[in-house]
Parts: sequence; structure tokens; C-alpha cells
Amino acid sequence: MNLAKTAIVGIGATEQGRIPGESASEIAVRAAIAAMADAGIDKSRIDGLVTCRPPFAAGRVGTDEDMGQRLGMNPAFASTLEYGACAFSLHLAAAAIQAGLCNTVLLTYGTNVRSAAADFSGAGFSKDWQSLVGLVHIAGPAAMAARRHMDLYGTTEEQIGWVAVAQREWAQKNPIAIFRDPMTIEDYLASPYMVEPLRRADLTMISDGGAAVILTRADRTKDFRGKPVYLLSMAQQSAMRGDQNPDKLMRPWIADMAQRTYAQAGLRPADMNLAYLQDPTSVWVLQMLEGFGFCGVGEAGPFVWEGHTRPGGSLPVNTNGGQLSECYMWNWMHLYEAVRQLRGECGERQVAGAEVALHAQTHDFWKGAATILSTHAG
Amino acid sequence: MTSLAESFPEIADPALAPFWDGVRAEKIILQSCGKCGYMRWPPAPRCPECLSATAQWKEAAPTGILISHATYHRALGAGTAAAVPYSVALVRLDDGPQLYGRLEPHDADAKAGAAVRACFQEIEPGIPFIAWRLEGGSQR
Repeated sequence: MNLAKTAIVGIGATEQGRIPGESASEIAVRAAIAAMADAGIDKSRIDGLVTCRPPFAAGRVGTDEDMGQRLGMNPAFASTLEYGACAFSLHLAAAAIQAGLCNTVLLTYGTNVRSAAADFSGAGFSKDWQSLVGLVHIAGPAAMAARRHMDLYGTTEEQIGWVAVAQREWAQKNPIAIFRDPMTIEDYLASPYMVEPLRRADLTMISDGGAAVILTRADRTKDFRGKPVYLLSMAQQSAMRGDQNPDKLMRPWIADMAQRTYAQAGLRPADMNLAYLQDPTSVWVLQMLEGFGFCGVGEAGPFVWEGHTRPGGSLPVNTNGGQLSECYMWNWMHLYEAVRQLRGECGERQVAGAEVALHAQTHDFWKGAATILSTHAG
Repeated sequence: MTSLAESFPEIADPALAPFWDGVRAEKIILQSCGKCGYMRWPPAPRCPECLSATAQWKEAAPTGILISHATYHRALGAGTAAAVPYSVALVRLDDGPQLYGRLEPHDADAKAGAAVRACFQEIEPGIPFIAWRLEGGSQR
């Protein structure tokens, strides 16, 4: 069965960390050039452009208009989502190709949030009824989710800590990761709380960087250099009612999205060789491990404590180090890593024989998107 | 520093006066749909359940259960430094809606499912808001 309709045929990234003196848009351009080189094409082969605006982007920064001018292209299809962080932009590009609007899409993302010293304090990034009582920064609601997981299921702080510790172990094998210093579970537990029960290591870093992806029709991959990575399935789910929902904090809707992602591909959790679970906070990883069926609801604490997500474990998770240890790239570098793992390019941290990867992301308590990637078309 | 009243226009919004009058009288007065009775929070021009634009302000019972809470040991937002450490609770009212408010006294050991009762405290001089305390007192 030829299941896949689209495939990733090019990826590019800039250095990650601090990139002072360069605009977010120009960082994205450099990543785009790298992705086209990786695919072995020039820009004349691209007829779709999906761009992702960075956090706190002013005006047109990072939009299709901005990027189209800088890259000098008039693609048949061009679009930018209001919140386009990787997985949502990827789905838009894939949907455009499947609808026949275009054949080959360049996706771009660049940010200089670190150098620009952006203010992330607003919960939901605006004054609202939550910030009125001091519930500021995503760390607050994430800490509430962690606390509730502990209260309902007996999850311990040590178990939560294994999310960050395991990802640090992966980051130590990743030359581009920003946080590579050793961190043991003892180091984690000895560190102070930011918002109890969460510590600094449970929360994303903030960094500058760029990434780009080239997505094309699955029947056209031979026109590009290198090994294609196919999109076997994709699904999304929202929870837009927010606090009107009965259990906002635990995000039970992730399981609905997961069920559709697996069903569309005809695969099960046990078929995943790798999982990329976007990690603005460690708690999101726990919730997605459960929602995507890698363990039962309430069992993610023991699951990570047992070491399944570490190097050598049964389910390598965020092998780049994720946003907790590699870089803050709104899930784009998780996708970059997934593609490189599936191509077998990850050197010391390469997971042998990896053929299928789950790539999933959630936008706080609002919505999520998940994709199953494979070296095979179906 | 910008005061809350300046940065949060809902405080002076005449349409929300029944809520703020309620808080000053140490009561929780929320919108209840005139058509289906759904009690909503935060305030909104229409019922998110049945989309009716009719609503009455009704007093909700000042009791609920603790869904969860978070304890800030670091100031992560402007104007919160003086309050650290403090806890913010998410509470499901016995009458339905879910509200955020300070947990007083701050108690890192409060458990999900605990019964809570509204108390009222100023979040800034002259601006009282709903806060929560554990029924039976702090577990500490």
C-alpha cells in the first residue's frame, strides 16, 4: 500500500544559541538556503511557501510576504499561520500539496528571541484573568498539571526529573545542543524550584536559531537528492474551550489525536522506533507518553523513571535533547532530528535501524498536531 | 509600575460592575445564561453553551474543589516579586465554573480534590479579588 502522499526531501538548520546582530527573518533565510542545498535543488523548483512567524514577531516578520521578498520567490501557494509552530505548519504544507495547490513546499522558521530578550511572562501572552492573580509564564499552568499528575497518580518529583535527565543524556551526544553539561537525577533534585513542583530543568530554554524543511509529493521524491522521509499520517485536535473543559490541565484530548494518527497509518505505539514530543515543559512529555499510548494513563512517571526514553531505552524520546537541552525552536529541531535519525545521520546518538518516528506537538492547552514519519512510503 | 487598573481594563468595565461589586461584598457573582442557565466564567457577551446573549448575574456558592495549584518560588512576571512565594489555585466551583485565585495561606502540600472556600483579599490596594483557603485550614 502506498500510504504516504508527501515526503520531506530537504532539511536545513543554522547554528543554535545566540545569534546577535541578525534578524529573525535573515536567520530563516540561511536555514532555507541550507534546506535547498540538502535537497539538491535551487529555488526555481519550489512552488509553495509556508512560513512560521517567531514568538512576539512584529508586523510582517516571518510571514510569507516577508520571506517571499527575501528569498525572491513567487510561489503558487504561500501562507503563514497565526500560530504556525512546526507541526501545524507542516500539516498546512502537506494539506496544500494533497489538495493540488502546489507540489513542493519550502517551510521556514527563524527566531532571535534570545538576543532580543523577549518577555515570556504573560500566560497566554496577554493580560488576562489568570495573570491578574499571578498565574504568569507557562511554568505556572505546567506546574499545576504536574501537581495534579502527582496527586492523581502518585507521580514523584524524581520521576518527573527523569524527563529532563534523559534528554540531557541525549544532548551530550549532540554537538549542536546548547545544554550539554552532565546532569544527574541528584543534580536535578538538588536544584531549586521555579514554580513548585517544577525546576529550571523542567522548562524550555530560550535560544536563537533557524530551521527549514522541503516537503514534496511522495511520487516526486526521485527528483531530489538523498533519502526521503515520508509522512504516513497526520492528525490534530483542539481544546479551544480552555477552562470550560472539565479537565483542561491533563489534556485528555491528546489521546483522541493519537488514536487518529495511529489509525490513519495502520500502526500502533509499539511500531514507533522514536518519539519526538515537544517539550516546553517536562510535563508535556509525560502527558504525551500517556496520550500516545506508550504507557497507561498515570503511568508516565514510572515509565521515564525505568529509563525507557534514555539512550539505549526501548523508546528513545527527543534524541536531540529537545527544548530542555538542545534549543528552543518551537519543535522545528525535533523534526530536523527525526529526519536525520531516519536517514541514519546522527552519529554517536544514532538509533540503529530506526524506520518510524512519531513527531507530536501541543500548543499549550489549545491544540495539538501529530505526524508519523517513516523511511517507507507505506 | 503600571497599576492593575490601568493594564487590566476589565476592572473598570461598567458591564462587569456586578462582579466587582460582588467581590467587594465578599460574594461570587457570575453570569448565568438567561436561556439555558449555564454559569460562565470569565464574563462574556454570550453563553458559550447555547449562544444566547441573555444573562443574569447570580451569586454562586463560595465553595468548590481544588483542581490543582502551583507555588511560585521565583517572580516570573512583572509585579509578582513582592508576593513570592505564593500559590495560585485552579478551583472548580460547586456551581460549575472554574476560577483561578491565590491559595491562602500559600500551601505547597494542598492536594487535588481538597474542599476549598472563597476568601477575599486585595491583589493591589483597592482591588479585592477571590482567593481560596482549604476547608478545615492549611494542611501544614
